[in-house]
Amino acid sequence: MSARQFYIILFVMVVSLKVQKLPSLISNSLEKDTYVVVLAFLLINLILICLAFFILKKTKNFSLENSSNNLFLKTIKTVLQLGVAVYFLSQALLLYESIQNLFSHVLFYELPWTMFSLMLAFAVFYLAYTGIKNISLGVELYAGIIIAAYIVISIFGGTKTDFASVLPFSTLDVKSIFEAVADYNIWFGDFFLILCLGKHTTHAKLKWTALVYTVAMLFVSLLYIEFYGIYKGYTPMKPSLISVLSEQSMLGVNIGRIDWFFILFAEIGTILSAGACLYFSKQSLCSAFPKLKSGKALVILTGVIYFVDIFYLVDIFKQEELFSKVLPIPMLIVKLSSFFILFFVAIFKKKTNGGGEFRGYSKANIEVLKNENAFKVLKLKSPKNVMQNLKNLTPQSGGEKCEK
Amino acid sequence: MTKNNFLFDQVSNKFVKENKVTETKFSVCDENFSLFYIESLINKTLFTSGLLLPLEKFVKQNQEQNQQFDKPLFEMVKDLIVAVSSVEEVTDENEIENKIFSGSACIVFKDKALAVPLFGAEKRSIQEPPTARVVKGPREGFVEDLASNIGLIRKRLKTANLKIKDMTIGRQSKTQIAIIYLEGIVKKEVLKEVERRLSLIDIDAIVDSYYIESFLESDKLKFFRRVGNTEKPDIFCSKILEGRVGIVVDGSPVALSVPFVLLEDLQSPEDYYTVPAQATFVRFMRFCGLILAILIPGVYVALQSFNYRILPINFLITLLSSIEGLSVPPLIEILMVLLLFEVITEASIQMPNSLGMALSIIGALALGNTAVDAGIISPPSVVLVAISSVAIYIVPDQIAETRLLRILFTLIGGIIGLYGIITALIILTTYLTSITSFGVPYLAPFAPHIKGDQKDAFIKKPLQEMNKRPILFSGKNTTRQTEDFESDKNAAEEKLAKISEKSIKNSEKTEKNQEKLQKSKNHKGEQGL
Repeated sequence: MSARQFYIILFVMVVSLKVQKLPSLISNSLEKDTYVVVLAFLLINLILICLAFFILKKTKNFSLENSSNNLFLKTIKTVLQLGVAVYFLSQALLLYESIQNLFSHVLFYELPWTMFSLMLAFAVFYLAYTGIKNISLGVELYAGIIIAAYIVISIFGGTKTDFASVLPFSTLDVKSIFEAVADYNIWFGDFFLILCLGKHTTHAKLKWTALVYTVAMLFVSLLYIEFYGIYKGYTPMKPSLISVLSEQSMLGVNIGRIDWFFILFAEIGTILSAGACLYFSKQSLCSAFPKLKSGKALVILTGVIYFVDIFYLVDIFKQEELFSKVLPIPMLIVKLSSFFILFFVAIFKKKTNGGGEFRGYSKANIEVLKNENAFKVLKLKSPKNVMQNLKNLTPQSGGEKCEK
Repeated sequence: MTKNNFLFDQVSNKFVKENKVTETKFSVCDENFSLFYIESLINKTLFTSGLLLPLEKFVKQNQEQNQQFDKPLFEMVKDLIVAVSSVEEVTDENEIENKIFSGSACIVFKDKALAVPLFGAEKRSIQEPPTARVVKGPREGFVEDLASNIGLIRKRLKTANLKIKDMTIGRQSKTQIAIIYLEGIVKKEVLKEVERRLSLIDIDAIVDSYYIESFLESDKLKFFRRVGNTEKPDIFCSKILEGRVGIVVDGSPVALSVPFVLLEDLQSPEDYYTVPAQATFVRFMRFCGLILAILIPGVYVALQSFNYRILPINFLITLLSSIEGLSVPPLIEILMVLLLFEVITEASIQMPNSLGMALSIIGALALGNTAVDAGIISPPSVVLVAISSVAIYIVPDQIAETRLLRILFTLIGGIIGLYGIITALIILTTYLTSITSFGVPYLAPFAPHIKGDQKDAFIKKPLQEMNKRPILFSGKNTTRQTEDFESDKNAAEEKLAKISEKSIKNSEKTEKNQEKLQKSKNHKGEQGL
């Protein structure tokens, strides 16, 4: 995965997960301060993203699965992987359910969804089956359309928004914000997403990742402001931000509902994100149970998503109960425990390997003496003191002198 | 040694009777030999003047004089005809067979033979290919003769780096195949893979390059072709220059090239012989045409069946009034029109040219108008299918795929609506991003995005800016032209200015020197006086 693909997929996944039914859920309790939760998560995640990059850097893109092999207790590893698989499954379910919900209740309510959502399930299955690199190619291909669709929708929404009714947050209830952060953390595990995406690329940089993430979250908070600015007290009754934002602006304009096309284009990003989450879930499940074949795991997970969505999450209260009452705490534990275990593995690795810049060159120094070109490579990479040490090296001394 | 054991007897018994192989027997001083050839495969002028007449003269001369030879007869005949063409010694009966059927004349002696290549079968003259006509640009097209095709390529690439590897494929057809590439520019891995795949072919006959194309595809269940083809040598050469491997098959005017990406179908020979802005516009139109051709009937059916609320109210009223009274659902209606169009297209291809006009009248008036008047189909569906059908031909190399996809998307749109179309589109693009052609992603340089290769993608940049070959195809040598044309131009101008400045200074100096000289001469003259 190239750095460009990494940034695009990050932006699309971050935005598409948060602009479905989440704002209507949060606004139920926080009303006009809904967007502040997004800003709070932005700050929390920015710190965690820095740590995620530390882990990726120190363990040289050491994957979650491999890191877990370093743990002494195999059962902990299995439980941890299983937890991660459930976490990403819940993310895929959230995205899948929101697409299905939007299509079946708003856009295409004429269709019998028990049967027709099989096509959506197949699309998500096929995406996950082809792998994350292929999904990132798809996202890269559609990036222009998806981002343009989001921007057009936000412009449509912006034309009818009463910004004065939302800004500024003078009566901020900090306690309610913290409660919302705890309740809705399942939608905001972006640091964990970066950790999983990051191991598929070696080119991504922290500053650009942080910038892309900040832009995405600020854009999401703008959409939340528009959402509340248009519907105010009615926001909890609106199931999807993406579909209803342009609804008001289309009223009275005799051009039909052309905004539907933009909604559909934006939903392409949601479907691709669901595929990516399903892929990560499958990877973790196969890692927890190495004997389980990839294809079988994917069929099982897709089946779970399809049946849970069709038969369990039919009721909107059940959806709210599952995603904001049952799952948040266990998922928070899974995310944070996996994250911090990886963090300690990174530090632990640093201590055993020496980790410093000198340590990395010590083995290579022997090669340096044999290879003329390698010296040029070191000259490019190493700081001045390493070069100084290298000059003092003799063929017999190997790398020891350098380490001292 | 019995008569039948001689090589010429064996050859005679094997081919002459049922293979239209002509045998001419000669006898010199009790030694016999035979000349075998196929009349339709050889150059008759060269054969008569260069081979048959000298042979007859030699036989006649030696029969009259009845002299003894100081050299064996085989060597004497060889010396006699060596001026005609490159002569090859052959001893194996199967090899003689190959030579005769490849257009050589074989002089067969007791135990060995001489093969004289005189291939000169009737062939088509070089014309503009009907599939790639251009308003501006070269009009030469490949023909069915391999040698002529290689000549057309060599004419454009006069370099020793142009390598041509010969292969023979087909147990019965023994078709000659040339693998063509530019050394240093080609990716070696691709070349090796092409050679490997070609060497694995074991088939009775290769009658056209399409056979080779099928074998070069790695995926048996392919939907999109992954081997490029062209009938124009200029396009073929430009592909070779980008680092692709070309394959020319004897007997086919269509040359192949690999790796192939989807973008190539959106490019046309004309793009390179016109201004970049126009080429960019035309490419954009082709892309829109492709999308329209595939999606427009499906989206129409979806909007009419499920999602009519998307349409503006005035348009909806017009549409409803035009479809009023139709007895069939939208999906069946549009499928009927599509099938009607497909039938007319197929019939017009198969029908003799003289009947084409009549068919157009029947198709357009009798079937189209009457069906609309009878209320079987509506005018909007005829218009939309017509737009889609015209748009199909905007990308001629993708006609087969576009026609199938159009019907597929129409079915999905009619059954599931826009939701189905969007989902199917995602599945289709996921499939497209997952496939490769000889290691090159099929949707490159868009997915993955390759900045350097975007100069000849949707936006066609001027040739001066295309300094590098496409990264996707080229090997080590990626430089197409001087790094920075503009800066080089400026540098050259500066250099020129410096040179002219220097020359002006020099001339000024010489003038001054001359003046000084003149003055000193005059001074000396005055002193002398």
